[in-house]
Formats: sequence, C-alpha cells, structure tokens
Amino acid sequence: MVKLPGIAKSLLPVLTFCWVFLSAPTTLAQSLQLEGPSSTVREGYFTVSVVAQEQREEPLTNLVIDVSTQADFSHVEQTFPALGDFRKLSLTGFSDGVYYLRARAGNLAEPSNVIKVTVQHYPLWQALGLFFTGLIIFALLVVILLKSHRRVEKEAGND
Amino acid sequence: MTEFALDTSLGLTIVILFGVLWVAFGYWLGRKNKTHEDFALAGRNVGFAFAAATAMATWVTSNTTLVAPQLTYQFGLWGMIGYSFAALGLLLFAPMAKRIKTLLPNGYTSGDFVRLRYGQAAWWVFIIISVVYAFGWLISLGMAGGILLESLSGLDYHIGMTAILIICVGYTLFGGLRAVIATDFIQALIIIVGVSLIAWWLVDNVGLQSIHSNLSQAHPQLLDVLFPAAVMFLFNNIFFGLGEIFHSNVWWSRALSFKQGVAYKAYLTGGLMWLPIPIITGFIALAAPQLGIFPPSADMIGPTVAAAVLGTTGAVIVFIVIFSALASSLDSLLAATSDLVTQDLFHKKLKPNASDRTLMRFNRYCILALGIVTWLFCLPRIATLGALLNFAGAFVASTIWPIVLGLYFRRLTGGYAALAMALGTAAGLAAYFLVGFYVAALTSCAVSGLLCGVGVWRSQEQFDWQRLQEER
Repeated sequence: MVKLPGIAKSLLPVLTFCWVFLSAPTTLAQSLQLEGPSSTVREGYFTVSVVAQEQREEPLTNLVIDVSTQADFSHVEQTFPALGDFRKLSLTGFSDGVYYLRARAGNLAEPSNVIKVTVQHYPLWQALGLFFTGLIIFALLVVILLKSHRRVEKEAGND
Repeated sequence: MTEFALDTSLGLTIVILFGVLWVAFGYWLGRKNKTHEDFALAGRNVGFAFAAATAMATWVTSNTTLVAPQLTYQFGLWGMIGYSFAALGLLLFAPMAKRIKTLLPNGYTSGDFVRLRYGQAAWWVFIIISVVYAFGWLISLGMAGGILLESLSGLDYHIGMTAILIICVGYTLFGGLRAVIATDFIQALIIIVGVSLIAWWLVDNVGLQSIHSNLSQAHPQLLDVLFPAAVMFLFNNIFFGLGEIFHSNVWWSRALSFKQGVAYKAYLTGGLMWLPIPIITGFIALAAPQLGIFPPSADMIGPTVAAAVLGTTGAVIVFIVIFSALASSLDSLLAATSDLVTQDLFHKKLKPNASDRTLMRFNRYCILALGIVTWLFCLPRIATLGALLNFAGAFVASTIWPIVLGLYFRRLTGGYAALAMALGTAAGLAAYFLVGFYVAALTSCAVSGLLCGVGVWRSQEQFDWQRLQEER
C-alpha cells in the first residue's frame, strides 16, 4: 500500500467525487423536464418551457419540441425548433384536439417527459354573439357621433 | 449560443447615437419655450404637416410594431386586420378634436373637460382610469424597448429598457411638447420609409405564396376567418383603440395645441397614414412558422422574424423603425401625463395660485418622476405586452360613451357618467379575468354605454356649454 500524506488523504474523497462528477457523461447526469399549460387551451396558442434537471450547467443543443396526436409518438406531426438557446417556445395555430408534446435536445439521448395539451376553441355561437354585439354598439356610436357632429356644425353655421 | 441579427455593441451604439441626437434636438427646441403654455401645448400653434405626422407617429407604437405581430402570430389573419381597425380611433377623433378646440379654446387637458362637464366624482373616476392607462402604456413601451434590443442584439433587457427610458425622458424634459411633436415628425418619416422597405424586402425574399402554403398545411387555424377567439377580439380591439384615443390627454393636448382649423384634417390624415402599418408589421409574423421561428415570448416575433429574413442591414432598419415608433409614443405619453398631473392635480387642487414658472418646473419634475416610476415597474418583466395593454382596455373603453355624449349632448349628468365609467371598468375587468383579454374592452364599453343611455333618457338637465370656458 502506498502511504499518502495527511492532506492528500483528506482531499482524496473530495477529488474522487470531483473526478466522478466531472467525467460522468452529460447524458447520464441530465434529464429534460417539459412544462406546458395546465388547463384546456381556448385560443389555440400556448407556451411550453423546458427545464434541464442537470448536475452542472451544460447548454442544450438543437432543442426541439415534438408534437403528436398519439401518446406513444408513433407518428410525430410537427417538430418545433427553439430559438437560439432559449428554453421556452411560444406555439400557435392549433385546432381543436388532444396533443402530446415532448422535448428533445441534440446532446441528450433521452427525450423529456410527455405532456398532454387539450385545445378546445370557444364555441362559434359565443364568438359570433360577441362579434354582432360589438358591431351593433360600434354602428350606434358612429351614427351618433357623425350625426351630432353634423348638427353642431350646422348650428355653428347658423350662428 | 443564440445568433442575433445585430452585434450587441452595434445595437448599443445605435441607441447611444440616437439618444445623443434626440436629447440635443430636444434641448435646442426647448430654448424657445418661454411660458408653461409653450412647454405643455407648444404655444397652441402647430401647423398641419406637424399635426398629421405627430398623430400618425404617436399612434405607431409598441402596439403596432410589437403587439400587432404578436396578435397576428396568435390570432392569424384577424389579428393583423383587426389591429389595423385601430385607425378608426384616429379617424373618429377627427370631428371630436374640432369640437374640443371649439368648446375649450383655453383648455389644457382631457381632465379639465371631465371636471368642468361632469364634476368632481366623475373627475376622480376619470383620473384613476387615466393613470392606470398611462402607466400600462408607459410600462409596455419601456418593456418593448428592452424586448426590442434583446431580440435583435442580445443586449440585456434591463439595459435596453433603461436606455430607451433615459433618452425619451431626456429630450421631453428639455423640449416639452414642442420637442415631442418635432421629433414625431422625423420619426413618422423614418417609420413610413422603413416599414415600406421591410414589406418590399419580405415579399421579395419569402414570397406570399410560400407563406400561404405553409400556413394552410401546418397552421390552418391562423387562416381561418371563423377563428373564435380572433372573432371575439376584433371589436374588442376597436373599442380599446377608441377608448385609448377618446380619453387620453395625449390626443386632447394635441387637439388643443394645433392651430385653429387644423385638428380635423390632421387626425383624418394621420389615421389614413396609420391604417396600413399594422397590416405590414403583422404580416411579418405570418412568415414565422415557415422560417421555423418559435420565440420564447410571442411579443418577440416581429423583430425576430424581420431580422432573420433581412439580415444585418435589415435588422438595423427594423431596429431604427421600432426605436422611432417607441420613442414617438413614449415621449408623447410622458408629456401628456405630466401635463395632466401638473394641471389637474397640482394647479387645480394643490396650488391654484402657482406662477407660470412654478408650473413649468413642476411639469419637468413630473416627467422625471414618471420616468423613474415607469423604470421601476419595468424591472420585473411582469406580462407579455399584449396582455398588459389589453388589461388597460377594460378601463379606457368605459370612457368612450361619457366622452362622446359629454361633447355633444347637454343631458348626460356627472352622476351617470361616473357610474358608467366605474361599472363599465368593473364589468370589463370581470370579463378579462373570467373569459380573456379579448372581451374586456367590449364588455366595458357595452355596460358603460347602457348606463349612459339610461342617464340621457332619464335626465332633464341642460348643460350650459359656457361653463367649459374656465378662467385661467
């Protein structure tokens, strides 16, 4: 057995820990956590964010979000790349339906957890009801404003 | 690392150059301000060209350059078209501006009108609404400055936001409304030329056909004319725009500062010049899915796509255009809000005998204080720009009917006007939280209109217009 000096002995566990920690492949130390909307989406757009649960800072490369209508991702409908090294994506234009999403990074072997997002737009009758309410109020406002303007102009002319 | 269209140092250099230029220009113009009326209302002597330019440039703001693309990205075609309908605010304010100038030839603020026409209770409700709106808009503009610089050059949000606030506070402080209107004129020219260039560049590089094909296949909802949330949003946005313009002192102080006979033509021309701008800025966002651009926050979509398509030269143009748009609104809002505080609170409530010199000094302190408070609110990035602005929609839309009826009808009393604004705002806020931002202004305007209608129907009062001619 090699006899180590006292200081080296005390540093050995620390050095061993550092060696194990630093030399461990990133793929083992990191995992991705995807977070999305917790309630039903009524407008067809939502934001998802990726959290890398990592032991040390390692930038994620080529982060993408897969979207599928099947929970097992047997068919990926769309893949959305993240902008630069941002870990949040604002996604838009979804029709009614149930979507499954997961995140993948180029330097990680395993994809993230799968989240389920339900998109259900407002019923059309509700939207059109508000549309026509707005139209009636607006038409009333314009008519009152323009007629009143004409009236005061005429009054000013008579004066 | 994220690839940004502009080098961080280049972005910062442009900001510093513009900053020095505008502040020096403001200082130069400020030398002509001899009285408080010169400072607050540019001597009530603004001609047609400057008047039309300031109306258009002030209305081109973070709404048009950042939120129009955001809402197009979220609501598709309706987001873009619906946004351009905000021009109706300027167009319909044209006859009102003429009436304001006739009824209040010596008036200073929109608060003056509400106080004299409706009395104290309505005035207090109106002032609360005005302050909430002014801060909502100021904060959104400060945030937009930070977001713009971050999207294009990677410069830290806090640095960009701080820089834009310092510049705008700086030249408004020195030059008052005269500087605001003069810089607006130059900024309007920059915006028109810049936006036209971007549109031409985008169509030439990406092509309408390819954008349409991509959206049809991958995001058909964005092309759907019966997109429910977008259909709801349409009139909401119109009422929000009307509420913003009809109540805000930004537009009233302009109407009062224009030469006699100029206001009507100026607002009409400004509105028509403004109309196509959100269509162009919104269109930029429709190219995002095809380009594979999905930003972390929807309000970053406009500058991010423009910079991706146009490269460094284009990014510089985008940067200058949006910077001009932000500055032209931020300075106007600083000037108008400080006028409101100086005239309506300080002069009318605290120091009725204040000298002209004292008012001018207080007005400057107000501009500085507003800048500092806005900066503090902007530090935490509290919401997306669209959400923040539309929250204010619940407040301002409640003022539409009391203002219109108050200008033209003698019968609406102060009690009903106050109730209409208070309950309209409450209903709008309830709709904002229970349904969504896209119904807040519509609900607020509907409830307020109903109460005003009852007020006009029940009242026997005949308001004497001469009571608006207040002695200074």
